Amino acid sequence: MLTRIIAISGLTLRTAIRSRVFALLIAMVVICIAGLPLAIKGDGTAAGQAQLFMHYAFGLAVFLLSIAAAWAAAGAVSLEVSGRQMHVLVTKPVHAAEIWLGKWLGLMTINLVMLGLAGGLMYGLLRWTTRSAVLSAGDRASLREEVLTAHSLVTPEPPAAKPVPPGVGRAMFVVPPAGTQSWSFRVPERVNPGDAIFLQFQFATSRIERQMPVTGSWLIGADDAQPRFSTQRSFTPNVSHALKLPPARPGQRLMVTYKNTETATPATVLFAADAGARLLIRESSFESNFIRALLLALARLAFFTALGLTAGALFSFPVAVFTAFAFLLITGLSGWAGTESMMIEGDLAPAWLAHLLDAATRGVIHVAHGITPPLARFEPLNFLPVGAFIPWTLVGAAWGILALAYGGGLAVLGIWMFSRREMGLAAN
Amino acid sequence: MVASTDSPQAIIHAEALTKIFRDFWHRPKVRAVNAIAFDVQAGEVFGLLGPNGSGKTTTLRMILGLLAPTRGTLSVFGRSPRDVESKARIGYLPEESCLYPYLTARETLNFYGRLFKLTRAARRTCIDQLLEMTGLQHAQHRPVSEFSKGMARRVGLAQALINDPDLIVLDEPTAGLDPIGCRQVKDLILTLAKRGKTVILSSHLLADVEHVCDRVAIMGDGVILVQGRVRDLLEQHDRCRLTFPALAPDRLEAVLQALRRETGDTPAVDHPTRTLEQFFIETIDQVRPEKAAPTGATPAEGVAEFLAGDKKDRGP
Ligand SMILES: Nc1ncnc2c1ncn2[C@@H]1O[C@H](COP(=O)(O)OP(=O)(O)OP(=O)(O)O)[C@@H](O)[C@H]1O
Ligand SMILES: [Mg+2]
Repeated sequence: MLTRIIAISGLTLRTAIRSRVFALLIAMVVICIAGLPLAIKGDGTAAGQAQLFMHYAFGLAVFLLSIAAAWAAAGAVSLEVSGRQMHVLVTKPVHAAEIWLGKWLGLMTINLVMLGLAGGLMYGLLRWTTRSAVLSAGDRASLREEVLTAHSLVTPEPPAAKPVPPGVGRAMFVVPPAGTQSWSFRVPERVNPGDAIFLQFQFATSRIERQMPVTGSWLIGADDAQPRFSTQRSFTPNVSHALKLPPARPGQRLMVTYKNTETATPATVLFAADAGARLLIRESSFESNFIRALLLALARLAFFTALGLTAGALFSFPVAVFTAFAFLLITGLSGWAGTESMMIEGDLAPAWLAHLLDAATRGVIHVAHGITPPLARFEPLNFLPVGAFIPWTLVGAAWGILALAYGGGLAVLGIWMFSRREMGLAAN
Repeated sequence: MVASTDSPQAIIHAEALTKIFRDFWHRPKVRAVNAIAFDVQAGEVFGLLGPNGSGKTTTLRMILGLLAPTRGTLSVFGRSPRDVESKARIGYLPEESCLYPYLTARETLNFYGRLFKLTRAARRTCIDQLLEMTGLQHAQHRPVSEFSKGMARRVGLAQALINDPDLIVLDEPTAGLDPIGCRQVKDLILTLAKRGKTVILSSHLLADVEHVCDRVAIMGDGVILVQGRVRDLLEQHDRCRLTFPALAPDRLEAVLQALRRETGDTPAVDHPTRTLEQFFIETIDQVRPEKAAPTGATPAEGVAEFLAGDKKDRGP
């Protein structure tokens, strides 16, 4: 079994290399990634520039490789059927499963190499553009703390004061002028004593002008001592802020208090109960987070490869490519539609028709949701550029769900259909 | 090997075998094979003859499991033609070469050899011998996409034999080959048959078939018109032919006189001619050794050792 799978994957790999698919892909990825730093302009800060570069470079690389993976996989079987090489292959003692798995492994080797290459290039560029010769020590420090890191958020312990229960939106803490609001955090045991801890917060105001700053003060005290840190500044509403706190002991309790000190144009300040204020702690190195982000992307490529292969096992090349891309489109759309609420205007159509359309749309989205994999949940772009920690459990879940469950399901379907297919009918 | 019911030795057993090609809407389009019945016995060379489009390739593809019969029964080695395990004992040369364009001749054979789980050493000797037999040694490291039609066909033939199969299915084995290649293929088939291998081939070159096949079936429009032993079909039992050294005219006349008296008929007299094939091979043999660097396939002697030898003999 294994000998044949390896023979078939070796053949797939060799074909990809010699047909210059590989060379083309490498050229494309290199041009995209290396050209990006020239094209993007961030907010002027080194951290902003690095963040933007990572977002676009990583996003573009994964996008290109996803398309290439689905495309190459769709052709891997279907082109051999129409080219009749498959006629000979299936008259050898080879099971359909060995063909499918061999192709998948060969294509995944290409994906792995390509992703490794793109990752290496990105990392190298990131290091090169932020080397000590071009950035000041301060810039480099903030870069290390904000972007080139892997941190996670610690939510406060259950509050003493209940938030205002949800009326229209989410539950809120309301801080009237001169009022205060406190949160209590426990610093997790896994925190390194030397690592900086940040307080991340975001608030809204009762004002109509969404961006008009509000003056406030933050007071941070430990359970064993006097307030250790305080600051009074004006903060812009509806923007995420991060305050660097002095190092804290693992297991220590931190009392965080916000005081609304705006006097010029008094305003009420609102904190979302679940995301108003959180601690940001460093979980791992940027490098290991980067590798986990690549593994998330590889899990996605594993799914796309399975999708293309199965489409190619069922259909001819053009139909297979179309099917695979249509499925990808549905996946993307259902992810998007899941977050948007649908509205059909009553003026444009009679009410019953609008209802019907609405119900039908919901039905379609519901079905699409059911059959498409949760790609958004494993989107590395949600983590890596903002320095958010990717837990290994997420990587495991991505492989379990995208590669094993969805990929495996597609494999079973593809193998079953392929073994029943009349190979001799193709393109006679 | 599981024996089929009515003829214990049959390697291939077909009964009322029918293939109807359908269009997209599943409406019958072509009745390519229509209720044919035949048996191929172990150790036999069986030929399918017929004009273009008579259903030869369709029949062979059904035997290989590439097409599913619409009706009727078909068993190969007593099993379904789709059975994967029995494929280990089958070699197939398709109608047109279906090779991986980016592989060289040697890599192609190596790939197929690995599918049969041949060890590296076994693969090397097999491939060396097959390349020698097909005269492709000097071209073994060139990608097959550069090969001429006949050279590609030779790779196809080598590929079909790499597992030393018990059943060899050849779809027009001599198509595209030069006369020397044709002759070699025919010799090869005879060698394999001598070792008890079973061969089924299709062709419309009657001269090829006549020399190698034990039995033939002549197909036309999807049905078998005639089938039987070649000798039985061709022999004219009421006529004889004598061959003897040339005689002086008066001596010949005396012999003819005697024959005329015996048969009451006028015997026909001519000189036996060499076949054009024979003539061609002799001519090429005289010219070839002078050419320094061959670009095409070179003529090679005989049959690969592992195919001809009896040490590995595992015929049925
Ligand atoms: N995939 C297919 N779809 C539809 N019709 C087909 C298909 N394959 C073969 N046929 C038809 O079946 C008939 C028999 O074809 P087949 O290839 O078996 O002929 P053949 O005897 O091998 O001819 P040749 O000597 O030209 O190779 C032909 O009429 C052909 O058009
Ligand atoms: Mg044919």
